[in-house]
Amino acid sequence: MMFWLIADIIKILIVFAGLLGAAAYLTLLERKIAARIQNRMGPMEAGFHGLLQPIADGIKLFFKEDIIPAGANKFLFLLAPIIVVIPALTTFAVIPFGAPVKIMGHTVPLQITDVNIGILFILALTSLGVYGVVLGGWASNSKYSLLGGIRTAAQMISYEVALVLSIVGIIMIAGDLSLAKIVSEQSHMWFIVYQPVGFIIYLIASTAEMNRVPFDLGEAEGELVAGFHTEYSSMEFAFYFIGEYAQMVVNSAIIVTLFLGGWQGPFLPSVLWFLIKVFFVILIYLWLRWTYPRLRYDELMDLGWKFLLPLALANIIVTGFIMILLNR
Amino acid sequence: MNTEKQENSIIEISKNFLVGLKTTIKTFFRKPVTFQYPKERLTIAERFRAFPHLNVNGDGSLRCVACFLCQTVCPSEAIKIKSGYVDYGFEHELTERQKHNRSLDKLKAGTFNDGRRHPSSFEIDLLRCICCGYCEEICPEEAISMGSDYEVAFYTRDEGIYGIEKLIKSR
Repeated sequence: MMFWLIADIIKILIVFAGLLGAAAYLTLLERKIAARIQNRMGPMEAGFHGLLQPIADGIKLFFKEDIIPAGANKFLFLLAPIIVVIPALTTFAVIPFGAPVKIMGHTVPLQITDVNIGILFILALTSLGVYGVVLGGWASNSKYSLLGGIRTAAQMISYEVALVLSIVGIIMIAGDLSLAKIVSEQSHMWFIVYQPVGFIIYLIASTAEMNRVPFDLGEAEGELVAGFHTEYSSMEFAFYFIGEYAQMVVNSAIIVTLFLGGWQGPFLPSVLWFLIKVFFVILIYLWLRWTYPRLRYDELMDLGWKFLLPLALANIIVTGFIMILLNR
Repeated sequence: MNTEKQENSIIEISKNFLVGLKTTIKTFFRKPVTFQYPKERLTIAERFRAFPHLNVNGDGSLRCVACFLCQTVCPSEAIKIKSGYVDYGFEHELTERQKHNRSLDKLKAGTFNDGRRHPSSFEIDLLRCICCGYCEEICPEEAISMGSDYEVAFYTRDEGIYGIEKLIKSR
């Protein structure tokens, strides 16, 4: 009993610290990759090739003045960034990040908790993120924030549908909602081979879900200053950032778990395989971000409702037919 | 002009998406063009024209003979010269008229005496200067030439007016 408690606490601490560190260093990675794609060098001053830049940014944001706008709803204004961060960090609880290891005669699964409805848990938590954005936009008492919040809400809700439907094919093939089971089902073949369309839909829809370019209408710099976080400063602003980047790590981890075989892979230790795969999916997200321009709002809605949703439905139907034909 | 909306098939659109991705990944592996400016500097071309500076002889005396050609040719009126003493040299036999020229009296004792006229002040307003190089071209004595120092900054406008000493020192 005591052993499991300690093991769980250690796992939670590792995941928590890892996620926060990854979120911090993703900002540097993003800036470096953006720089290289635009033929620049990115941050070079703080530390060797800017390696200490996230720490410098963190210290700067920590000591900045905390400005709360005059007409803002103070409680909701402070609550909103927290609502963004917590679901992003909690989602990782059900993701298996390595093969079970044997410690002192016990088999410890490298997963904080194996919920048997793992996918539903993830979907429920990721959709909570929209509340943080909407509350922050509304509580700021600023037209830019409000417009950004409204846009983001509409966008996230419409892309959520395609996101969920793109996973249904995976659930049908795996026959289980638990993520540990889904990973072990992929020991012979990654699900991306069976579900390439589902993978692409999930990639696009999750980009929209995270409010990243090309779907960053909620914070469109050109029109809305900074969208829902226009009025935020100091650590609250940093919380939005941590939330965004943690969400990116989590989404990449979900993609790896569902489509790319989770922690499975030859030769190298399983945790390393997981990290490598997550890193590559993150690189894909960054690559997409610095390639495409932002969509117009009607184009965004068209893409979500007229393209991704029918495609996801067709994907489910085709998957079902093939499974019946193969008698599985 | 064809204003009709282009018909885009899904294949065409996806092809364009991939072209974009290809372009960015190609740039990603190219060497950055950035120069870390204060640490690294671009090598300046030999013909580079920055602000003008004054040349001196080997012994440190000014080559300028205050002929006013540069002041005349300067299109932005950046150069202001005041003609100073006329120096006739030790061996020159002074005419009656030259004997009455008292301009040499102001000169400090021991000043170099080369038998030429010299400017008493020579000012270039670097804020007016357009670095066109006309002054260098027209100068008969090669006394003024374009330097390579482009990093010039001032706190006030008056600091932008360079006198003889500063013009000699600047590169």
